[in-house]
Amino acid sequence: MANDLQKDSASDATEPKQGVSRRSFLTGSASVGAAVAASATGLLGAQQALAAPTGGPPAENVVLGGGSSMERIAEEPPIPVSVPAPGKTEYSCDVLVVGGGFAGLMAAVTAREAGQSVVLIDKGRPGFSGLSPWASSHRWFDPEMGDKAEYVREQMMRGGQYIANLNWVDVWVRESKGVYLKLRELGMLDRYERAADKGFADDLNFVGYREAISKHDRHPRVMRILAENGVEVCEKTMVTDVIQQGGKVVGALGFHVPSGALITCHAKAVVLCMGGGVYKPAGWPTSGISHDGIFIGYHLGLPIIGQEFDDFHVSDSNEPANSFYPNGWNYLENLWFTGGDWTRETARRSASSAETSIAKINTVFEGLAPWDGTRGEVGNHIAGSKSGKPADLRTGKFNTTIPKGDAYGCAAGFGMHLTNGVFCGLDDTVGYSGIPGLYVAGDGICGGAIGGAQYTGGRGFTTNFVSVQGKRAGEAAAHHASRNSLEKIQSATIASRQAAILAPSNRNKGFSANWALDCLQGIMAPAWTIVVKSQERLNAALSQISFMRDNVIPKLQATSPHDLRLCHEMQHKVLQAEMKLRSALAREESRGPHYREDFPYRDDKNFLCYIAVQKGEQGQMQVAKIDIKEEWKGDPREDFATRYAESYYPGEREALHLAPPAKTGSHA
Amino acid sequence: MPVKRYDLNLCIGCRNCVDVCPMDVFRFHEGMNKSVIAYPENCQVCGQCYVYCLGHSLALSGESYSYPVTSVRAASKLPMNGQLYISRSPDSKFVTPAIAALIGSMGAHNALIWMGKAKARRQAQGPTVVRMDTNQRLQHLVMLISFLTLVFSGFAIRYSGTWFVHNLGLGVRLVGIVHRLAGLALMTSGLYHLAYITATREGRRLFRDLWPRWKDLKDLVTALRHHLGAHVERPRFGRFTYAEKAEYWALFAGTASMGLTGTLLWAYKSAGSLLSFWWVDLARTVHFYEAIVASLTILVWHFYQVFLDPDAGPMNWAWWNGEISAEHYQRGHELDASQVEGRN
Repeated sequence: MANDLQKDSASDATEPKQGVSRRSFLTGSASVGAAVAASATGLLGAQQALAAPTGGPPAENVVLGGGSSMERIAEEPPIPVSVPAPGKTEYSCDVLVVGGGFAGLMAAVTAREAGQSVVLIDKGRPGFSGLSPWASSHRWFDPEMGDKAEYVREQMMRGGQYIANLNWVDVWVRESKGVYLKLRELGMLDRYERAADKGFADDLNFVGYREAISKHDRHPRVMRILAENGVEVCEKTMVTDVIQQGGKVVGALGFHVPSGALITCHAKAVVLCMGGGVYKPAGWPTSGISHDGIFIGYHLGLPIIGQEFDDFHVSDSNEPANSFYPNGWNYLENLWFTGGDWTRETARRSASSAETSIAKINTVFEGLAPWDGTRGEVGNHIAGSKSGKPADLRTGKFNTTIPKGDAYGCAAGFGMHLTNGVFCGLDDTVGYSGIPGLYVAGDGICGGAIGGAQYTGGRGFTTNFVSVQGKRAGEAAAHHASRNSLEKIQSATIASRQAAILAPSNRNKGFSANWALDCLQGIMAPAWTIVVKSQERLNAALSQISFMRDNVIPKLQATSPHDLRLCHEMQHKVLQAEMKLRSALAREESRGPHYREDFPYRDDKNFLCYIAVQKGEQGQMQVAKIDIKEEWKGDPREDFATRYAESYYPGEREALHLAPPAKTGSHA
Repeated sequence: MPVKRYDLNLCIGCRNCVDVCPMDVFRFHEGMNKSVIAYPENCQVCGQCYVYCLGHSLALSGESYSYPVTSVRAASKLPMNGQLYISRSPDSKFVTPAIAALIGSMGAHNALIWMGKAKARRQAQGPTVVRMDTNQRLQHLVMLISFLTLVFSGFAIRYSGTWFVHNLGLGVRLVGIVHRLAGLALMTSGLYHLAYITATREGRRLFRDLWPRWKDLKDLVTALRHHLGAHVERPRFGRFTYAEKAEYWALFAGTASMGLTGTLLWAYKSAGSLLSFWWVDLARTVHFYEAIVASLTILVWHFYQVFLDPDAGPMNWAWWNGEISAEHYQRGHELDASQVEGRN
């Protein structure tokens, strides 16, 4: 209804319009009829429709009471025809940071502290975009509390199923506490009461709680930190190209999303902190990220690893597309301090990390019983540090109860945490891409693979670890910038790249990016593509993705700057889907969440390696194995059952001719 | 699936939604100083706009359709996906009942005093005349109850989204049923009245006495001139004054037209396909605005005669026991005095 009215008024969009026009009143349009149906008596159709939210549920289902003393207006004003371009569209700096999550924040602040000028570009507003707003806890390693590095190392090695990058684990052990202290100093880790203890949880008063804790709120604080540290922020801007010139990186190009204005940033060094991506969200607030970083890296010729591992997040199947309800308290409450819980026993037990994936594999074949009317609330609590010292602040995660997730795969396309991204070499621990001046940091973009095949860092590990990566990349980028002079992007390059950026807007006909996204989701999201894989089905999906790549993506048409963003995101997502399928085809074994029906077993002989994709000479996608260090592969003398703590994929024991199970963990 | 507008009136133009949305769903209308949910199809239901909306203008819907995830259960017979998350207004929980209690106690106090005084006044008045017989009083009572019910239920339906009606805790469906039943009662009493004024002697006499005459217009002019200070005598009335006649005929026409438009709206589906749909729109418009006119007429015109007219005392009791003070009647209806004497 409201959309109809918006479209009606789009032609005279400058004229604010309320209610229904005389014309449509007299002709009695179908939309008025729909409004009539909304209530048996009342007034003019359109005005009646305003009484209830557009297309929303009947008034009886509204919770938490009303808020207005006037008649409600649920109709939207007309969409403004255009948004003014930002005042500044060309930037120059020493270090350009792309992305404003934990990694980007630390990279920017660190580079500023090293005396370099910094511009930070974010697709949304730093603090509210990407995945960082949704963090729920924060973990660090504290030797003063008696933490033992060897246990952490063993836990990551076993839990990552023997392909975790242990160099990064050593770095984390050394630097995580410093990063925690730094974030605390910046004001990102305030302590305050949880919603349940302040009486906001009983009637789901999310808004009231947000208002009550606003002085502790870390989300708006990110912009203040950046401003206080002299970081110039360019927000709502999508970076589509990083420019390499004379063998080094010289800046980036993109566009301001609301206005479509082209943005240029000349820089001595670029740090990509843009995260990973998903295809389309359903119950997980991840859709702001769309594989923009690995798209850029791939087209610069860099190897991309870890795409075969999916992290199938869960949502509440009662409202499977609602990201907020299952995450609201996590989002609003303080970041819970975790850590100090590593022991020899937990390290050993983490070898059974495949259990997490096996449970999900079984669930997707069993389905779910119809809703019984309960909201399935669970605590999602984890105990705190085992140090026993009163001074230990790592008391665990005890957020207000959230509904239990039971619908898997709500973030299709999402990579396993801290595993996938641009591969920088086995010995890299700063995120240096190999192209002078270009660095990567953070989850989904830096292929540091500390997570191995199955992330077992523990709750709160990611926020801290990506901050460590951001800090190190920021230092390295600042160091590079201090030894190089600014070289501007050539105007011919800008002109040709900008024509490519705007190409979807200049097409006279083509396809909708939203439609293409639904198609992509339909190909990639089903469990038989993304959870339980086989060569046949992966090839079937690949054949469809290839067609989209060649025939749909080049013809996506943008009719607004908003659409232009969607077109570019689609291009990135389809490229990543191809990477995901080709990587999954190449890994002819099962490991972590990567389960192959035709290879339902761990093949330690052939696949203790990374699968990398790289752009070939002719532009085709090449796949290769990258062997890893021997000392990361665990003790070769251990038998299979010990190595994987007797947790088996469906069909794994049979395939490997192993003894009957000592315990039951799965059924095919 | 997406963010919804709870009430655009509440948008204070803070732009938080535009700023925090990671999905570029919002635009801002500078002229209206309001945000615009421009691209709800790309909303990821992360709820950041909802919690940062300073005016509590936005709602979040839990409904979801056609979102493939790896496993979603079948539809349930229970209502699913219908939750609408809106901000709670801090006043609604405590303030409304507090106001109701305070004003209610004042009203109860005054009602008690009023009842006592009114009774005393009635007992003190001298001889009475019969103004309304039992049949007429019953007709009036049915109208009174159904009319008041129609006013309250009708406006409750019309303004179902407002906090006041919301806090009454009545569903739109229940109120709708009550409204229709009251409408039926009023229409039935109207039809009965038609029979009454044609088939009974008393009815025919009533109708004759209520029939508008040229004198009524002259009485109106004379009354206005008299009370504006001109040196003319006030008009002398028969059984019914021009004011009472006007009200009777307004009620007559109003009941007919409200009944007709109400019936049309009740049966809007068949009426909409039999007729053109704009008939329903027309009926809606007429029904609503006439409801306003009718309620205000009763309040301003009729209640004056019954309660506020200084001659009527605290209340004209005719509707209750049919009687009216002879003195009051004689003062207002001099030309009908013969009848008074005859009946006293």
